[in-house]
Parts: sequence; structure tokens; C-alpha cells
Amino acid sequence: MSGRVVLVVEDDHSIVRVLRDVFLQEGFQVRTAATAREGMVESGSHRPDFIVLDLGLPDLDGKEFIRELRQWSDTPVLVLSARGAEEEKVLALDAGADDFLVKPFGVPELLARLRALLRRREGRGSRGAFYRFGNVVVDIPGRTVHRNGEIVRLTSVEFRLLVQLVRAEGKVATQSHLLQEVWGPGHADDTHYLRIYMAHLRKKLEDDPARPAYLLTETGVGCRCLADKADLPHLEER
Amino acid sequence: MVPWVKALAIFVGAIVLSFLMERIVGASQLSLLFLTAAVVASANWGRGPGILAAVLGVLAYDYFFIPPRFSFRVSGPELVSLLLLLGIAIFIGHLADNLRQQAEFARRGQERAQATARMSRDFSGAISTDQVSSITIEGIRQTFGLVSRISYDASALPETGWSAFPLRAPRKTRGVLLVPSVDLRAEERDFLETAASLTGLAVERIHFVEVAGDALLRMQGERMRSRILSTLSHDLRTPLTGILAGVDSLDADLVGMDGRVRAKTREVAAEVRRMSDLVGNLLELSRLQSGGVQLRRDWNSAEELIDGALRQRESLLNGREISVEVSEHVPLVWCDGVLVERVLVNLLDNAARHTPPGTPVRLWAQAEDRVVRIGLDDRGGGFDESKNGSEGIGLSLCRAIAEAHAGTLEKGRAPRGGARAVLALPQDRHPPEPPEEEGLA
Repeated sequence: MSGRVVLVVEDDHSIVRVLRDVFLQEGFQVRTAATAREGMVESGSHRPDFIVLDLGLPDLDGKEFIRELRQWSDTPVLVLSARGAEEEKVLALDAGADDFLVKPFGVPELLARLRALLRRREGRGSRGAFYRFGNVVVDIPGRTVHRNGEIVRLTSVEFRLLVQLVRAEGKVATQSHLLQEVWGPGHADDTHYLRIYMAHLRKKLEDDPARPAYLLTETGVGCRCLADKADLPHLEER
Repeated sequence: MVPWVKALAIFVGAIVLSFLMERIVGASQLSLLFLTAAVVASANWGRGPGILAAVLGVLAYDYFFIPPRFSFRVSGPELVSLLLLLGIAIFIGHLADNLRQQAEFARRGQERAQATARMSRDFSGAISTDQVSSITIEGIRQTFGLVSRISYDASALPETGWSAFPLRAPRKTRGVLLVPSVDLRAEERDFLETAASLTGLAVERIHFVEVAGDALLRMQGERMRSRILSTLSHDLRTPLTGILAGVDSLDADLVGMDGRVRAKTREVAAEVRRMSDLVGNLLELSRLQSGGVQLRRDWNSAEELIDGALRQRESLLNGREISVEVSEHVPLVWCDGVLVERVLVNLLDNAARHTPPGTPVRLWAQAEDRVVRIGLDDRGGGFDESKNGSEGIGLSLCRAIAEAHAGTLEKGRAPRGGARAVLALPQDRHPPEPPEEEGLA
């Protein structure tokens, strides 16, 4: 990961200092900004590969920052927020943030999120046709799902929900986003649909539906599926 | 009495004037003077005084001026002309009186319209119900000369001797206007009814202005409180974030060092996390206890909440056998998912801290008769009854969250020994079924 540029937008100096050390140790170049304005200038001039953004900036709402940034850049943004501020996370995610981390966070957790986002960025560009998580392969053009090489029967709503989830590639999709994409506008508050269909998907695709490994719910925020793009699905061989 | 006296006075005046003018105009012309007196009397003081002035005038004319003078005796033709004179006086008097009454009626109507307009104008500037009362009472006093009263107790029964006019307003009757029971004409009743409903409207407007003001004040108070709490939360968490990240990076620097040194840094990191949880619980507790907290309820599944809590505490539960048993019949729960998950996280913390490492933890959910119970059983020594009443911030928060949902937090013994904590959430609604779906993808 050497040579990559990380931009830290955070107004607390001690946190900036520690993060700078951590990222330097990992071989990143580090740029820092204490305000959203500076952050915007830095992201324009240094084209960071990754932005760590505190939501409690002094000059501009973090959500505004993301919205503005998203007009010209798709640089991954990891948002740092306080626990309990689920509403804020949802707004940040809807504005275009890629993931969030609750303060205080452990460094290993931070690095894991960062690597996951950078890895996904590699394959960015075109939307994938095939996705894989665990022993499940989702073939979107073929409208089929295989688990352990066997076809799993999904209803069309289940399939649409699964497609939305895998396409986010590990990013959290907010509840209202999923509800509107899968059930249509006007259903943004029908959270029980999501609960029921997530349970269906877990039952059909997870080894232990009560302790899912891939189809996860972030309470109060949304759902995520830890799926990756699969290049060549050798489905024919099976 | 006054009109009658005045009629007499004008009659006496007419006699005096007649004697003075007798030399100039001649006796036969003087009848016109008495006629005029009678018309003036009825035009000004009503029909009765007019008739009195006419009758007395005719008698006086006869007595003083028709020969033989100073006697009531009259000849036949003169009697006829006297009777005609009396008839004309009464008839003209009658017409004049009608005119007077109509003018009076119009004047009163205008007065009432002006009073109504004045009251409406004054009401619009009133900012208290006391002001409204005094405007109404003053308006009625000026128009009728009556002393009225206003009671804002709409259910109060009128006392005897008082007529009640309800203060009707669009939302409800706001009280009664009490007026001394006197004979009121229909248009006067109308006026009082109008005054009463104008008063009702003004009172209702003031009521809603007050309601809106209170709501604004409460909202500002809540906003201030939540701003203080979120600032506090940010200020307390920021140094903790710095410490934790610092300790973690120190730990990375110590790779290859003595295992005991690294164990210490891990311990510090764990304590910082604990501290941060304490801060979070404390802030959440004060938020809930400050009142006015809106629960962000939506549909949640017990299974997902349990899993979410377990994922938050994954590292804390390392090496323990965790089992999750959610009965098939547990419905979706209408609750603030984030808060309920926090309850489960705190219960897990509690179990992890008070039971020997490596002992199993069991999470379960059951439904019975409009209550969903989510519980945790451990295999430790059970709750310490001696410390009852001081159960720590974590469990206090659990209780506060349960109570915010009109539920309870019960502490007891697990069937296989150990402690059992149960969050009971009453459920009075069922999620609507999602639309039926046919066929496969």
C-alpha cells in the first residue's frame, strides 16, 4: 500500500497525530486538514486515495462535505462518528460515505476497514455481474444463486434485495435506500419488510442464520453483505 | 316619570304662550299652539305623554279661550272642531312617535355594531384572558349599561337572576358570559350572543398562542439539553479516542517485545474501551432521564438485535460458548432498536465481568401474550443481592430503556444456576404483512 495518500480531516490534534503515526507506519503518505474547507482543498490538490472524515467538524457539517466531494470525486470516505448517533451515520451514508467507525475505535479495526475499502476500490468502475460471499455465488445476469454449488431458490423480491446488498460490496446500505430500491418509493418506512426478507435470505444462505457471517444488520442504520466481485464464476464446471 | 312631567311642562308653557299671543293672533288660531305642543311631546317623549298633552291641551283651550271663557261649556259645532283637534293631535303624535322609535332603533343598532367592531378590534390586541374579559364587560356596559361577568368554567351553572351566553369557539365552549336577567329584545340577545362568541374566539386564540409558546419553550429547552449532551459526548470521547489509538499504535511498536509488556498495553486499551462505554451509558442515561426523549421506534427482529449486540462484544466474549435461541413464534418487535441493542450489550458486559472466563452465555427470546422477552442466562454466581439498589450505570441504563418502552428489566436465577436478566417489552401492535409474492426469481 505504499505511495498511497490518506487524507485525515479531523479537528482534534492528538487524534490527528496518532492517526498520522499509524498511517505512516503502514506506508501511506498522510495529508491532514483541521477543517472541511482545508479538507476540500487538500482533496482537490493531492487526490487522496482515501479520506478519513470526522463528522463533528467546526466549519461545515461532515455530510455537506461528503455531498460536495461526491460531485467530482469517488474517493472512499470513512466516517468517524459517536456511538448513538445512528441518524447522523444514515445521513452520512446517504450523502455518499462508504463506511463508518464509532469513536473510540481500535487501530486494527480502522486498518481493516481501510484495507477493505481500498481493495474494493481496485475493482471499481463497472458493476460486477458475479459476486461471492462464503460459499455463495450470485449470478446477476443469470438471475441465479448458488450455495455450495447448488441452486438456491429465491423469490424475486429476495433476489432484488440480495442484488442491492452484494452490489454495495460490504458497504452499509441504509434501510430507506434498500426499501426504496427493492419495494419502490413510498415504502421507505416499511422496515418490517426488510426484517422479514433479511431473515429469509439468512435462512437460505447462511450456515447459522442466528449468527450470520455475511448478511449483517447494523441496527438503526441498515444492512450489509460482505460480498466481493467474482471475476470468473466457474459455474459450468459444477 | 320624566317624560310625563315634561309633557305637563310643555302643556303649561302652551297655556302661558296662548295668553301672551291672544291679543296678536286671535283666540281661534291658538288651537294650533296646543296641537304643536302635543306633537312635540309625542315626538320627544313617546305616545303616552303625547296623548296627555293633547287631551289637556284641548281641555285648556276649551276652558280658557272658547266662549264662554273659564267654563267647559261648548256649543255643538265647537265640540266637533274640538274633537277633530284632539283626533289630529293624537294621530300626528302617533306618527311622530313611530318616527322617533325607528330613529332610536337605528341608533341602537348602530351602537351595537360599533360596539361589536370595537370589541373585535380590541380582542385582536389582547394577550391574556383577563384582557378579553374586561373588553367584553366594558363593551356590554357601554352598550346596555349592564354589569356582566365572565366565567371560564364552561360547565358552571348559571345562578338565578343571571342569563348565560356560552362562549362558543370552533374547538370547544370556553366559558359563559353572565348577564343580569332583564327583559331583552331579540336584537339585544343577538348582540350578547355575538359578543359571547367573539369572546370565545379571542380566548381560544390566546389559548393556542400560549400552547404554541409553551411548545416552543419546551423545544428550545430540549434542543439546548441535547446540544449540551452532544458537546459533552464529543468532548469526553475525543481524548478517549486519542488514548485508544495511541495505545494501539504503541502495541504495534512493541511487536517482538516481552509478552508481559504487551499484555499491559492491551489491558490499558480494554480499560479505555470500558471507560468509553461508561461515558456512553452515562450520557444516554441522562438523556433518557431528562425526559422528552423520542424513541426512534421501528420494526426490529430479536434475532438481529441479539446478533448485533454479540458482534459489538465479540472480543470481550472470546473463548466462551455462546448460544442463541430465538423461538419460532417471536414476532417483530416495535421498539427503538439501537437502545434495545444497547440493553443487550450492557447485559453481555455485565455477564462477562461477573462470571469466570470461559463459562457459557445463553441469549434467548420468547413471546407470550403481547410481551416479547429477550433474556440472557449466564453460569456465574448470580446477581449479588447484597448490593441491591446500587446496580451500576450499565444496568440502570437498561432499566431506563426498558421503562421508556413501558417494559421491565427483571433479574433472577437461570434454570442451570447463574444469573438471568430479562428485558420484557410489551407489544400492542403487529407488523402488517408484506405484499404476497408469487413465483421465484
